Amino acid sequence: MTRYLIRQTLLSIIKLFIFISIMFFFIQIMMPGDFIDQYSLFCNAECRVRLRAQLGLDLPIWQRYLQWLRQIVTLDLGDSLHGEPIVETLKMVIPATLLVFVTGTIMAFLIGLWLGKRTAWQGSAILSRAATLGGLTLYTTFPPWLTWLFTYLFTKGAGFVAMGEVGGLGQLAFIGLDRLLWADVEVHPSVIAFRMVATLAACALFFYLLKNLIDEFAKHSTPGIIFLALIIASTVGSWYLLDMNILAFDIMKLAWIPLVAYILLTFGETMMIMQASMEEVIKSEYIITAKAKGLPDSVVRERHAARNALLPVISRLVISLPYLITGVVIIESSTDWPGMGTKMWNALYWQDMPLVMDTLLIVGVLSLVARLLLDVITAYLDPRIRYDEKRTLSN
Amino acid sequence: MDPTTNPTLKQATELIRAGDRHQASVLLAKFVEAYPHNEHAWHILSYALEDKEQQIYVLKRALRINPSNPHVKARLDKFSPPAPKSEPPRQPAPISKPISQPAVPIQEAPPPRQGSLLQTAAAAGGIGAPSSPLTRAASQPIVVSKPAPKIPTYEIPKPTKAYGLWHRIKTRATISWRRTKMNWRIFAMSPLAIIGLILIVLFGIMAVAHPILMNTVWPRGIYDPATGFDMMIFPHPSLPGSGHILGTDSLGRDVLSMILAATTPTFTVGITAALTTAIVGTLLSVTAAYFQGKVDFVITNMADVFLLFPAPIIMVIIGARFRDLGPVQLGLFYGLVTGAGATTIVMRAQALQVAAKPFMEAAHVAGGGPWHIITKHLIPSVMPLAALQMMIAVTGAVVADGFISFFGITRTVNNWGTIIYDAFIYGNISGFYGPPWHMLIPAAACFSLFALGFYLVSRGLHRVTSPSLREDH
Repeated sequence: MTRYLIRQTLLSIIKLFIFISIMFFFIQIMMPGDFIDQYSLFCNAECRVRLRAQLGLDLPIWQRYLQWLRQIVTLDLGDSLHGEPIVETLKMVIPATLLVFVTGTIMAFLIGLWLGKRTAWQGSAILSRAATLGGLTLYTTFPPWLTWLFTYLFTKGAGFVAMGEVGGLGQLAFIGLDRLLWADVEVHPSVIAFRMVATLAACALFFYLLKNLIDEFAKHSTPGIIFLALIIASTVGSWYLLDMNILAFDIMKLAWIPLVAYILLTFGETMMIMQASMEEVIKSEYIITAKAKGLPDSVVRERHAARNALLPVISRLVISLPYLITGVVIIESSTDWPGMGTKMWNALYWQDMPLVMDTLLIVGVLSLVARLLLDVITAYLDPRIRYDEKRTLSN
Repeated sequence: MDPTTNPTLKQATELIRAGDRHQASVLLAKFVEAYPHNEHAWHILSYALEDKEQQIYVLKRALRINPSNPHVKARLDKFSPPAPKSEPPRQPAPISKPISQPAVPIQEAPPPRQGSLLQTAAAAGGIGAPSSPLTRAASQPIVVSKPAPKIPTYEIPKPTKAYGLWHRIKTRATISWRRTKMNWRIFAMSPLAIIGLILIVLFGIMAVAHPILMNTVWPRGIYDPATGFDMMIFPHPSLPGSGHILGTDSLGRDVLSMILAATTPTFTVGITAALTTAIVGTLLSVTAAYFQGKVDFVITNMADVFLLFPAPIIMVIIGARFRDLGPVQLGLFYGLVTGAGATTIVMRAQALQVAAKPFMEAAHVAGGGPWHIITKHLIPSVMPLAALQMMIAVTGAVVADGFISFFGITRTVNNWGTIIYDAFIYGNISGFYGPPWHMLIPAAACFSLFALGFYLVSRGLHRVTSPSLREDH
């Protein structure tokens, strides 16, 4: 296992390097014009030449590439073309994305699993068909439309205003926070957002382990909804303890729209995969045996069917994980959520290439790490999988 | 139950060699009682017995199990020369126990591996040495005296009539028609799949309807999706009314006409992306599965890299470069990126499973080259999965296309995404009237339903293609 992990990590780094290099050349060669051309209205030809020399844009592309690589290797990302230090920018932007997308992914995954196993178990009941249709319709909904609808319905017509600002660069900030409230707070909202993510993750991990421990000893599995409620309650409680409850609620007031939109847009996929996987498991003979033994329906579903159906779902998620980048861009930029997606989108719009590339790098690193994590989880869940040198047919 | 591996038979052979025939016969009798269909046991037993009659009986039993065992035949010939001729082994045995199973070797296939054990056993033990080549030669004259066995000649029946091209086409057509009918039955079992099909057909009708309507009912000046304007209506984002079933947008264009006109480009994007994905994914995955090893390693890892590429962003960049990018090109790029990424990963797993099956080995042994095996065996067996991936690609491509035209980056003239965008923007400007729902809802619904149709069909296809699901009722 350790050997496998080391090997995969090395491979991941190589893959990341290839990805980043291809993107670097692709974007720079493909995009017409460059950063300076944006300002041609205020700047004549001489001025543009001077500015290019100042920003190093007049160098040939391979030199810029090598410079950029040196920046990454030395972990000194430098400034963006707009003059902001990139590390600071990323520090501001990453917590917001984590808050929405880690929470949203896990919630969507749980909802999808639950609905998937219920609908597959009930088969052709009207209710389960309706749930399937509903989930898939939400999955294929046009994201900007859904987020706009949310904003319009729940913030009294503010949707139009929000939409008008998409695409404008501006200083990316949490638009809509209570200015009075934040006036005498020294820290940036993103720091609060990061603390929110951290507390949530800690609580979720704790109660997940607790649930596993209880399930070991209890005869029937305890309903997950209780633990969900406990997680939420303890997270909110810890916000009170850390004395950031008001600020956190102020952020949540904005965050719930992308969060709920993201959950609604993505749970359909997990639901569909889980359904397909459950349908195959239900046909197998040990399920019939378990039913014939006289076990209650819910026990057969939870303990015998769902656990085995879970594995293909997780290994399929490995594939759809990197699509997160696309989702991040689409959802964040249509709700104006100040995360990595919006930042990258705006930077791309303004051809601020160092910022675009570094954001892509961070997203790539995150998704490859998540992928490795999923590999480990799959190996932990499925005792048949043994990662050794010959991996090709191991699962 | 091979005498070389079975300990009882081995022991019995040892005993016979050592000369303790009685002990061996007791041992073998028990064995034969337990496994009455083991020819070797019967054969060895014949060496253990003293009585000639018993030996003949035992040998006949062995012959009945495997009529082609040469050693048994030779030994039986030695005992009673006329016997094999007059008595076909099918004759009921004199003291037979009821035989419940057919008289064919059901044990492991008789390994005639030199049949040598007994020869050596016999040679070593000095029991008759019946089946050594020498003795067989000695018994030859008797056999020769028999009429030479007539070798049946099998004549290949000549076809009564020549099977021409037409006949072959007809047979093929019948077979594929039957298969289609069966698949259709499986597909139609799920009502959701039927709903999906109906949706796709509906959109197809919409795509066809637009040019017909434009050429017959709708005057071009008023209903043109790009430049139309209705002078008779004054405040221009107008609600649905007579003449304009879905009203007009802020530029005075007919919304229904715009929505209908957007159907064809959307289909084009979706289908181009689907075909590209299928072709690229199939080729890469099949190559990886056939050559395996280093080729597989490279292709898999490149697919992982491609998985990271954000397709809409790439489409935006390409759209920015080549300003007048049509739906075909957009679909092509989307298909390339997803085909080399996700589709390859999914299909490679399937192709590897197929490549490990025995019929592939048979194809190799039969002398099939890579081209033959890939085109005749691998590709047909991953085709259903490719169809499934195509449907999923349509959904992705349409959403991505809508997204980038929503942000107005490509110059796609007319799209459901741009209709929504226009509604947002002009609704924002003329906020007084409230949001133009008559534009938003139809466009958004078209978007959702179009993608949904393909998704539902892909679910139905999944049921058809996965064998474990299709067995149910």
